[in-house]
Amino acid sequence: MEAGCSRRLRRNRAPRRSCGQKEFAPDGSAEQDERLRLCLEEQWRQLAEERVERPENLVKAVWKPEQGIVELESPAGKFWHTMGFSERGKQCLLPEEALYLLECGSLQLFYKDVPMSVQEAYEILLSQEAMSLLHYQVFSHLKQLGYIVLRFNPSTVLSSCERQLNLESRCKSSGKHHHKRRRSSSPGSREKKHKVSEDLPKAEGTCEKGGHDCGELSCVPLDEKPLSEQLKELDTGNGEEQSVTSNSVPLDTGRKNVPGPSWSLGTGDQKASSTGTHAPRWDFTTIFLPNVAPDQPCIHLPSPDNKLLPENVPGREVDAASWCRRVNQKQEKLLQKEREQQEKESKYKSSINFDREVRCCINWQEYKALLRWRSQQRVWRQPPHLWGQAVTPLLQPEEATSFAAVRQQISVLQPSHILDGASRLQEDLESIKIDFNVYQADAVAKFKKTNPGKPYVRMCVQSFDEQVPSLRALKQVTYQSGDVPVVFALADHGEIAFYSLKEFKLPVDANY
Amino acid sequence: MAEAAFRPPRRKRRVFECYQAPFPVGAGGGDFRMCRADMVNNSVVVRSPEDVERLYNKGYFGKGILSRSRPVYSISDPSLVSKWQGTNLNMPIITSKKYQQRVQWAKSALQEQGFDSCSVTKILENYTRPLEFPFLEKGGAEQTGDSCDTMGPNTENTELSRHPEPQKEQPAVVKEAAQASCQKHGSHVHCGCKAKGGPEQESCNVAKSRERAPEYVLVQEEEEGSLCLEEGSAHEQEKFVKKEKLVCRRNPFRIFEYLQLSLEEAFFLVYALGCLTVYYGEEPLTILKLWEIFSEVKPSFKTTYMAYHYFRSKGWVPKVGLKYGTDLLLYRKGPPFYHASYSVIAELVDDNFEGSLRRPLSWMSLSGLNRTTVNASKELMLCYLIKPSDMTEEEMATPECLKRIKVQELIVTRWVSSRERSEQDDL
Repeated sequence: MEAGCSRRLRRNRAPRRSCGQKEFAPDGSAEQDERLRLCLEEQWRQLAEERVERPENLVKAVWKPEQGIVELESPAGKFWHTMGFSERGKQCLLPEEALYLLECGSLQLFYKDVPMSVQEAYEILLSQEAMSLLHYQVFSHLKQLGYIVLRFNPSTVLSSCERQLNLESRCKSSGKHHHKRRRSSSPGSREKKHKVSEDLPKAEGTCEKGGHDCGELSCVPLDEKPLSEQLKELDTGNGEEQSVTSNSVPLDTGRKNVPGPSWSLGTGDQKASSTGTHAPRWDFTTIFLPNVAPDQPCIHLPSPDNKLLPENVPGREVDAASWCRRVNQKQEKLLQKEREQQEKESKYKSSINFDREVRCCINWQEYKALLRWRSQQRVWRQPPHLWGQAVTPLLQPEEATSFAAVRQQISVLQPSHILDGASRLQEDLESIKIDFNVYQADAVAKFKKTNPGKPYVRMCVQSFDEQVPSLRALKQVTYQSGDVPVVFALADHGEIAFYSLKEFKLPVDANY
Repeated sequence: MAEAAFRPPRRKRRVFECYQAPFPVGAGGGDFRMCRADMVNNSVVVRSPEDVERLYNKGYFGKGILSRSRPVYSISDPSLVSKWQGTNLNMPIITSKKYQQRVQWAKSALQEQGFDSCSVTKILENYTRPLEFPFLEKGGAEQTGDSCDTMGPNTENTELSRHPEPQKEQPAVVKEAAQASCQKHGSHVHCGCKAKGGPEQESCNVAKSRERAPEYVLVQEEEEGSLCLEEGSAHEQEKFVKKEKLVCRRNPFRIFEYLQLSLEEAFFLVYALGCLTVYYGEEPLTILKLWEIFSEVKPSFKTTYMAYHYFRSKGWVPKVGLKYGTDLLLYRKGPPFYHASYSVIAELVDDNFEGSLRRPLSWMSLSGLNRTTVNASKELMLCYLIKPSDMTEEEMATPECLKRIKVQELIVTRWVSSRERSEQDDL
């Protein structure tokens, strides 16, 4: 197109994004349709405008597919300040840079002596591994905002102290990937230094809680059966000298019976009985009651003492073997409801007989006394179900002197820094690559291509459908970037969004 | 590498409360009190009003089941209260219609108990008769004296008649009402009773015996025969001026509000502070048992608990983050004072910093989550809980495993390219 035609058209105005107020929803009216039509027409018109440039302003460049770069045939313009590199005496551009300049209208790109259209250039230049369409869109977006964007090179990463010591030039020539560097401790961290060579936390022993062994074992272990049930079930006559069983009825169902000490050695209920209306007539320490439970079958039942029997009731010896065989023949069948109930409760309950102190009670009175004693304990600060167990509360009541003290006692989780353990991940394949170094636009004046300095930020280009990087990948990338922040650029059909995941330590609220 | 800057929490514009304490323990020696909670249907409920008060005021634990957060349920009608501002008798004021509704509920409850309609009517009439204001102080005896002779020797009725001290015992009407209503209304009247028997039933009994005096309410009623016509008007529809008055009666169907604790809150109070006991029926549960039960109820309990514990130990108040699609919301001091600052997602990873995530996020979903969080003026935080690879299942079966867990916090921020350039802000 001739030079003259360009005057009429505004060259640098980008298509307007909006034509008036946004239409939120279709209302079916003709006016709305008309407005939308006009808007679209305007946009198409602007997009259809031909781009014009003075031919003499265009820099000629040639695409070299074998090397994947673009060589300049004529001298570079202003863009050379921040883009491009020299190779074997020729000025060259990276594909994304060339494409960007082509789109800007500063460059004319030739391939086999034929100028490339923008569409062709997109297809051909971006078919490489290093630079996909996604990457290019991010590059272009940032360039348009004025940033200086260079490709990332892992070997040029310096820590802050190396930078201070001016090791840049040396590093560039050596170009190796430094693994074990000593880093300065970042400000604001805790006492920990983030050593690169730091290894995994061994049992760091910063456990603020000293070992919590099972509290005082003198405490009564858990009494888990609801008391009311037991109290209801056991029909207490006056001192029935049987140990507590988990379910009442003594002889028939024959559930688990605690093998208590022999009856005759009971500590005796010389204490007043709980129903306490009259003193017991018999001395149970001398009366033998046989145990016919399934776990301790007693087949032979001796003749009872005549003194114990009423007058006209004879007693005799019995061999209970035949009876024992008849007992417990049928499996107890529970109803569906009962079974469900039992299952539900078994989650929470365990047999009362696991309780050592309960086993020590040899008669009902002792057990009741134990319960009474225990209920008094409830108002005590250290109830047994919390303090008599393997795992006790973190806060000892006597240590609860102030809120700060409380806070200290409960702080058992240890903090971790993003760089902890990151060094040992470097040997693995990186799942995420850093793509660009980005420098601020204000730094253009002082910018030197050969010595760009510390980037403002480093970019990792990702797609919206990809998963957010795992902590592992994040650590790798953060470590690799040194002291420069990492930003993730997400491209979605031309719209770019940037996110960063930053290390953070929630401060302690020292309000009290 | 840059660290995220800490942004101070935004104070709420109007604060109606006084800050008491960060925890229910720790205010110095003599203040210790063991609170009681019950496991009801896989959730933890605190019933005693003193415990509810204490747990909510000191640390903002839990949520009232009939309220938005603080248990402040009252049947009082605010519009009536403002209308009758003159009479400040500190009793809830309700409309007559509402009162009658409650009488109906009590009636149906009693009928379900098996009372015949005659005795039901009698009981209710007696219970709901108007009372004189002065009795509130002490003279409960004289008015209840005449209630003793109306009932027969029926067991339930003797309970009813045997209540000379209204402070101590709950009249049977309400007891039974509460009990039966649960069968009918389910969670509505959360008394902890379930239709089936078993330990829940007993816990209900125990709870009831601890309840307080009957609730006295002021019912706005019309005065009998107080219609007065305007003189000399020819209109059909006259302005009937009805005089209204407040009558003091007892509420026959009282609803109690309980405090529901989340599993993490309950476990924290038991394990970290040792000031709560969770009962199943009448059985206090040990810490290990609770850890096991809670993990069964909520498979990700361990992870969320670790995060909860961590933030509590930093002095922040974590509340449930359901409304924002995350696990926790962090408040400074408590919800009444500051807007929540952080919205937290907790994930458990192993030593290699990888793990099966509870919420595998794509960038798409992360940006959506970030958007909603930022719109609510909060920051999105990812909290990674790193457990050592050699931690066995056995070790995880006890809360002692917390001591070996490390916490990594990350803040998700959106980097705005064009603005950054002009403002020269620190990243």
